[in-house]
Amino acid sequence: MDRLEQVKIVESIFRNNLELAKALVAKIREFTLKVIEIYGGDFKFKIMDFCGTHEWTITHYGIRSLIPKVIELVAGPGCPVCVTPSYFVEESIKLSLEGITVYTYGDVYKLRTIRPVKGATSLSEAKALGGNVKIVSSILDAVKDAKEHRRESIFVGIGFETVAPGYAHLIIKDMLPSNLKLLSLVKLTPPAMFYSIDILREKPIEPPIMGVIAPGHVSTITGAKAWAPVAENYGIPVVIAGFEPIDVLIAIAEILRQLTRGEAKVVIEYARAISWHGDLRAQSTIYKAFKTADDAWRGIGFLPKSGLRVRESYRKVDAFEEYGIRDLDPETWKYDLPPGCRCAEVIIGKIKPPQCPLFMKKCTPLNPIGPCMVSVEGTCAIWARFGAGGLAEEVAKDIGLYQG
Amino acid sequence: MCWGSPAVVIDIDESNMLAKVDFGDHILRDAIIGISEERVSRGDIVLVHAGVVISKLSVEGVMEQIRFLKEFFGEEVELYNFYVNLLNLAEELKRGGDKG
Repeated sequence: MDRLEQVKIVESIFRNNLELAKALVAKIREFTLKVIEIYGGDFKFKIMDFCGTHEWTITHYGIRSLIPKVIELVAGPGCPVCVTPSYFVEESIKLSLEGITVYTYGDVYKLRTIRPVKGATSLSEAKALGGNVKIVSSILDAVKDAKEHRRESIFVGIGFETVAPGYAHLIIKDMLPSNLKLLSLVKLTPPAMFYSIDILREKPIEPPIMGVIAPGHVSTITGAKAWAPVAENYGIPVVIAGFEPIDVLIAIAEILRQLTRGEAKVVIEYARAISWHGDLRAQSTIYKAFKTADDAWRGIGFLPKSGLRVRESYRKVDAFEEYGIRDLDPETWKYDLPPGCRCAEVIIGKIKPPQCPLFMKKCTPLNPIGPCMVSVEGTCAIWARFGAGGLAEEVAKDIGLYQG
Repeated sequence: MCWGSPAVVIDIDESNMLAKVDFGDHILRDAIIGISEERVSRGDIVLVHAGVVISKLSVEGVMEQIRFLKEFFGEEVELYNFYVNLLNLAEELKRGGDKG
């Protein structure tokens, strides 16, 4: 068998497994009935998925249609593109229009700013106005290209813990060419999870989060241990799950099972990729190259120790240093979402996209206004493409899996 | 940008900790090995995220997942056939990787 066909089989094992999906749906129903017995039937059980890819799986595969209505799956702040402050995009636009090559991921390219810079409100518009913007899928592409043209360049380093070891590796190994600087805008996920759970607990009219599906890829680096404080401090189950529909169904079943037993543990469902301690080399590399900083999250504000900036010992690669980009602080950060846009509430799981007045009216995938509609992994963009309920519910009914 | 795609490790540049990986389109691309080097070798199936190898699928992990599922369903063997296939496949891949 061709090796690459074998990779596809590995994927399908966790995707097209109808028998197991049916068994899991039945288990979820069974556990839900027990949970209702314990907590009462008029209660909504909110489970937060944190990662944009989990939200994609849940929405794309219609998982909300497969589980009882009392279980509400809400998306958390799991899209780094959505939470990058407008200010840093504006600074990048400015540099690109001054002739500096700006490398960026495709999602960031379309991200709209709150303030125009010389007529441009995105890097894409800056390019149209003659700015030097190049889309890459990896920082290695930027390294290769910058070595060839040798002109001044920056890489807009957006991401969560997953990209950090890659950036850090290049910094420590001195693999960045001298004409390429890194604008580190990396964000750390646990502080955002604590914030979201806290906010939803402060509002007694809303059901609190009763369980968390923790981000699988981030956990490959941080390890499951990063989520122990969530289980301990909030007394809720946390399951680190993979990204196929079977993984997500298992995670929901495990959260409900723990609720029936009054437990609050961190469990690794994604054991084929995750360990308790994570990758120690990656953690150590990140620590050597970066320091943690209080960081601004778009539409939300400052979260303590939630960002990574290049350490002073490596300042020769730091775009903040090279181009005198002022970092934000709580005094200078201003609310940075467009009028009417409710992305900040979508991001922390407080509302669902259709509750935003702009969703699919003024703000669409073709004409995105809020950051959650721009990134393909933003919650609004996912809901716009796949919806929730609707067709997924009809299909679930047809195959006898509907749990209305 | 958060997508993690499985890919096969075709070659490793140990001095720079870079891997040549194939996502299934027969095009070799560079990826930074972001995790412990001893964990990654030729023939491994790894997860690559924005050009960084962040994990690999382990046989032990899959076995652990089977144990996890058995806690739900007992020993209903037919449910686990897929997983047994996966383990066989991983073994086969490893042998291929060792041969180089």
